[in-house]
Amino acid sequence: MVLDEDVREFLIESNENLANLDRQLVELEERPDDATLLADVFRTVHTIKGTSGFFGFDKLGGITHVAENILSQLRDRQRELTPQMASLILESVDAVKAILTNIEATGQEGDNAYPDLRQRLEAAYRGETPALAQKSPGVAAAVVAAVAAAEPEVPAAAAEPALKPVEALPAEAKAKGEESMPSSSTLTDSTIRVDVHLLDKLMNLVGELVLARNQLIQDTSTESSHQSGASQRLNLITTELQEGVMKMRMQPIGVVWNKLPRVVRDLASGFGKKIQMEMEGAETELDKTIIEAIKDPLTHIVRNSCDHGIEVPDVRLRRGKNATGRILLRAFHEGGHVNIEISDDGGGIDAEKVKAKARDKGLLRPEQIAEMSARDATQLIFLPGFSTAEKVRPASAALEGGHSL
Amino acid sequence: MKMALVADDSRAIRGILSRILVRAGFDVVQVENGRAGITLMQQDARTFSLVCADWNMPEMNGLEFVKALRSDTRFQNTPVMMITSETHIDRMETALRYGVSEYVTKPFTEAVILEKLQILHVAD
Repeated sequence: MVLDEDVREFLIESNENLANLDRQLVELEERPDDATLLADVFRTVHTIKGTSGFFGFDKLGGITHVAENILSQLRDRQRELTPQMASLILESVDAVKAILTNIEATGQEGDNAYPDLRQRLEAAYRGETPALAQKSPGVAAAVVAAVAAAEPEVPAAAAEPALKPVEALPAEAKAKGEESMPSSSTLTDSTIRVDVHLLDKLMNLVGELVLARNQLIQDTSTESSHQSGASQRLNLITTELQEGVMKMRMQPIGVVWNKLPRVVRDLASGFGKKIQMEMEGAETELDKTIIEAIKDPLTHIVRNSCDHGIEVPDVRLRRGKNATGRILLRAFHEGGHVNIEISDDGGGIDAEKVKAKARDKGLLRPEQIAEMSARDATQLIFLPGFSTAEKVRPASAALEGGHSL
Repeated sequence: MKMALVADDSRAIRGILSRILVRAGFDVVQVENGRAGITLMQQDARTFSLVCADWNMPEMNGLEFVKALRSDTRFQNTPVMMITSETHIDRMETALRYGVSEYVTKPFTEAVILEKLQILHVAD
């Protein structure tokens, strides 16, 4: 009854929903009374549970079942969401992701049934103090280590499906789909999935077409002074085609941003800091290649803000700031470019420290450093090899918009 | 050709269910939530002899969908199968009170669906 195709659909839609789940759970901690948000979170877990039964994915079904039970208690207002419970649910989400990765790679769920996690989930469901292991970091680490040693490690293969959704024109596509109903099963979905490689190929072909058109226009214009109607139309259609293909590759920057609140949450609790993340312009669209390219640098900058920028609550209060630090992500169009800004209300960059580091690393001569302004010194962090970690990029780096590509 | 409407937010489930219904002689239209379902049925000139609805869907859930159907004179007698992973008996009762004709829990098999089609008198 079940086809490979169904499993593939299940993996794609589950991965899509899970990508949102991390963000939604973090938001839920901030707004525990948001019924719509809670309903979304519940539905995602519920859908995975419901569908996994068809494929005999029992481990997946087991974990999502207990997680769903807890979520339904929250939904029915039988209990409040505590940070421990949120951590437990996030942990379940990670387990679900790991199992889905296994299924994608091997078709099987893998050997790890997460007995420890399930036990803690069930204890939490029964109302016992949830996540005993999480109360003290020492014990948590020991349990995690024990679990890691006892059970085979999950391969960290790319969990991202090869297919990405492409937004079609919803209204038109829908109308057409419903009118021209063939006799067999018909989909009225307003979006379709297209293999990225297919888009890349289309993009290359359009590139070739543009070259050919330019050649043709050059040839015809030397032969006769006026362009024929046909070549004018060819010119116009080619331009529109090129723009259309470009548009197909656009994705909202929110796709990348969605992953960050979870990163920030985990880092903040690790450092004993309180950090709130805000986003503006998540719907701003960028070409897919750019989205891919900025993913890692963006995460790095945000991590950097959590790590070095935002101070611990004590220090912040002493400096007269709110105990909760703030990281703001902004994306906006300006003069044909897309600007992405990442700012935090932390301590800023200590110019003297930067100078000292530059001197130690021998990046500049001492006399150069001595006469350097604080502003110039700050720029030193962008020198390759300055940080021992990866390359750092300017926080307000202006990235080329899809148009100019 | 008999028409069936399948409303479920999971593509995988829509696919599995639609194949069963197509084999059972239906022409199947799929939607991803209740809102899309009621809008489509109210605008479509064709008669739907069966509606299969999930419970938990975004925008408009299965219960609200059934409520909307039953409050429209054209759809008061349309057989509605609710197909859900809500297994609790209370939930089932609620669904029937809202006007659901048959209740099926996930995961279902082809045999279960075919049997329900018999009960609803929409099988060949």
